[in-house]
Parts: sequence; structure tokens; C-alpha cells
Amino acid sequence: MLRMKERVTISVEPEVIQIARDDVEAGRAANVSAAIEDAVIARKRSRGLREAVELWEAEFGPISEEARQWAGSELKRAFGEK
Amino acid sequence: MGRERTEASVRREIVLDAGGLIALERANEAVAALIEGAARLQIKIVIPATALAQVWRGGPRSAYSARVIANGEADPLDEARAKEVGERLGDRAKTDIADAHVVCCALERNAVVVASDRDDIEALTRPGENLTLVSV
Repeated sequence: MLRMKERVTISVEPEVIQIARDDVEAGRAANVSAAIEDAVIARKRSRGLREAVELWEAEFGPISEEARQWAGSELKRAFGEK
Repeated sequence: MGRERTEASVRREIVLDAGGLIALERANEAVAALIEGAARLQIKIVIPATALAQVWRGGPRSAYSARVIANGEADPLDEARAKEVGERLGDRAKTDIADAHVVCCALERNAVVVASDRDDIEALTRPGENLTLVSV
């Protein structure tokens, strides 16, 4: 089923809208609306994952600093290879 | 035949295999730390539907998988993907559908694979294919 998008008016700093336009220019988003929609969804996903990890820590105990550093360096390495 | 790649070269995504999800449910802090890092860096987590099926048992046993998938994306096994997966299994003389789905999904998306068994995943790549892996 086709979902209708809601049209809204928002106010953002010029440099923010430029970031969205740059994303469109670079092919990272279909249009400015999509760029902003993607950013909002990414924030929502990020928040949800952080909440999942908080619950995980509540059940299994805090993630060690060693594990955090390992994960950070592995992500940096892996995406650095891209 | 791969699907059309649109913005794959600029997206930042992790493809999590079944072993990674199982490890998360079994208190593996390396996977939890990677998910925390992904959240911090706004890296999307993608789970192939076949890997999810291997792991998913519902209820409390799937509590963390449920949260990860709710805040990520499932890569479906539709007709096109099923054919890709099958051809890869045939090429590599392997039988694990979920692992082959991980490889197809990651290559198409230019994503990093987080996997519990590196050898199983690498055995499904073809010569010249470059897959970036994080072992957990």
C-alpha cells in the first residue's frame, strides 16, 4: 500500500541544509527530504541500539573498557579498509 | 547477478551473522561492545533474514536480537537474493544458506561482516571478492 508522506515546514541552519544538499549531490540521498529523513531514522536507530546495550549491561554486567577499546579499534580498522 | 548498487560505497553498515546474534544472547561482551560502537557511530546493523531464522526463537531468548533487528534492517531472502545465494553455494560447493546470504548481502552493500566463524564466511567468497570481517 502506498503511504503518503506528510509535508512539513522546518527551519534549519543554512550549513545543515547544505549538508543535505551535498548528500544529494554525492548520491547518498535521493533528495533533501530523503537526506533529512535518513538522518532522523539513523538517530532513532542509534538511540534504540544504545537502549538495547543498556539493557544488556543491566542483565550481564557492564561492558569492560578493554572490550570497548577493542570494538572501537575493530570498527575503525574495518571501515578504514572501505 | 547482483542487484543495483546505489549508495553502497558510502553507507556504513555491519552485517551480523547468526553466530554474532547467538553470542549477543549468550552474554558475549565483544558483540555488545560492537553494537554500542555502531550506535555511537550511527552504523546501520543489517541481519540477513536467514541468519535471523537460525537464531530467532521468540520470547525472552530472543530479547536482544529483537532489539537489534528493531533498530536495524533485515535483508530479505526474496527471489533475486535466493538465486544469488544458491549460485554462490553451488560455486563454492557449500551448503549453509545463512552464511551465503551474509556474504551476498555484505558484498552488495559494501558492508563489514561481524561473524563468529571467519573461515566459514571466507570460504564462501569467490576469487577477487574482498570482504572485510570482524571476528567475534
